[in-house]
Amino acid sequence: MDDEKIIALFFERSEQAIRELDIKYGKICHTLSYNIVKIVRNISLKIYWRKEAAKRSGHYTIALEEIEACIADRKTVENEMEARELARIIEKFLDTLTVKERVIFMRRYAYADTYADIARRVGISKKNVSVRLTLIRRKLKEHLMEREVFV
Amino acid sequence: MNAKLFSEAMSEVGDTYYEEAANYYCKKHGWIKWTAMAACLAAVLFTAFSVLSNYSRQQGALPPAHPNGGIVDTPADNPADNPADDTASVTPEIHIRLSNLHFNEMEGISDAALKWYDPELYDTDVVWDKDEVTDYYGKDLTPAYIPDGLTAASGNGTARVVLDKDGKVAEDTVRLNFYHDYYEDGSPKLTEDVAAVKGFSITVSKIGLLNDCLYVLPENEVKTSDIGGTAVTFGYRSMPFGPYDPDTHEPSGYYDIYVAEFEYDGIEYEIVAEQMEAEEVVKVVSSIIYGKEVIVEE
Repeated sequence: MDDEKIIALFFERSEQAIRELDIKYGKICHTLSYNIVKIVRNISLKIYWRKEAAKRSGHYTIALEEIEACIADRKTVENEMEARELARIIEKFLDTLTVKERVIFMRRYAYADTYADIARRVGISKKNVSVRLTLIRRKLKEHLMEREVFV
Repeated sequence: MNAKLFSEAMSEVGDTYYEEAANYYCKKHGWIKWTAMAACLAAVLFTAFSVLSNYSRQQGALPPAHPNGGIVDTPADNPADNPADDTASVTPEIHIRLSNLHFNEMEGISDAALKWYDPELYDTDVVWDKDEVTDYYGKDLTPAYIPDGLTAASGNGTARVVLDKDGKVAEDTVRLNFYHDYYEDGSPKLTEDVAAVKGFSITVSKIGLLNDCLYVLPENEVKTSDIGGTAVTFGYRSMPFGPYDPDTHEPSGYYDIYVAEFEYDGIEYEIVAEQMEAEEVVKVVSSIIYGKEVIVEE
């Protein structure tokens, strides 16, 4: 539909205008918004690490402490392994999980959600979230060892 | 490795994983409960009517008509399944009673599941032609019944899909449009009297990336209707259209939007119909399930 027609629908205050706009420009706006979200997340994390240099606190710290047991005190094949390279390995690992497991993992270690938040979102108990995360971390450890991320 | 590297790596993880985690909400419980209840009810009814029909035959009485569900008269639901039955040489008509179907009141149609794919990780410009779509879905997706006055869009049968770098299908959504008229760019045309399109679209996916409907009722109160053994969720909304009165803010009028969601043959279907009668919508849905036109009765 032409932009002019879409604008005319907006002037008519027709709900159809929103749907037509979404059909035509929804995908572009989505791409833009996700890029903005990613930039904001990266800036936020940089600020977080700067603050963490002085003080350790917060949900994200607790989540990272959990995962540290999986990865700490081990030398990586290359000590200066690129984050991007590790990200691809993590993606391969995520592909091996079920949708629910993947969401639990991402909500915990990307969004830093609490167990209670995750439990509400995926419809299981807090205890179940804890057990599942333990199993997922164990799988991650095996996955990293198989790919010789650790020596 | 340390937590900081892990955290940085998590920042680099593809957006699709973030989107999946952001859009995921458990909505199975209500369905499980209702499905379980429906299964129990079906089992009870099946047993009860098996016993009753045997009893009726023994008494020389006629068996009762279909007591429940949408199907009123299906001598053989799918004669193709009974090739040995010589009496089924004439294809029986399938009747569906509209009053046996449930239309959930719907608030609107959301696109919360819309996904974006990082072009570095995915090929987003893959176009399947009609043969590729048919091969993938194992059938021609065009319904057996298309209401008079509606025509297939020129792009029907082809699809823009997303593959990952290993060639695995990441998004397989195919949309077919059947509307009364189209603009030059192929998009459905608005009708002159009502500022809305007229016709229906069918969106399908085997992976399950369809958009979600927003129902006014809590999800565990959403009722499904049985069509040929397939649970179909129908939604309905009376949609206002403009122009609106500048003083009273009243719309010019209302038109009907129907939505039908179901899974058949391992394929998820979502049908959105605008300015169509419920009867026509049910006929379209049923023709997909039965593979032929059915008769819908008031």
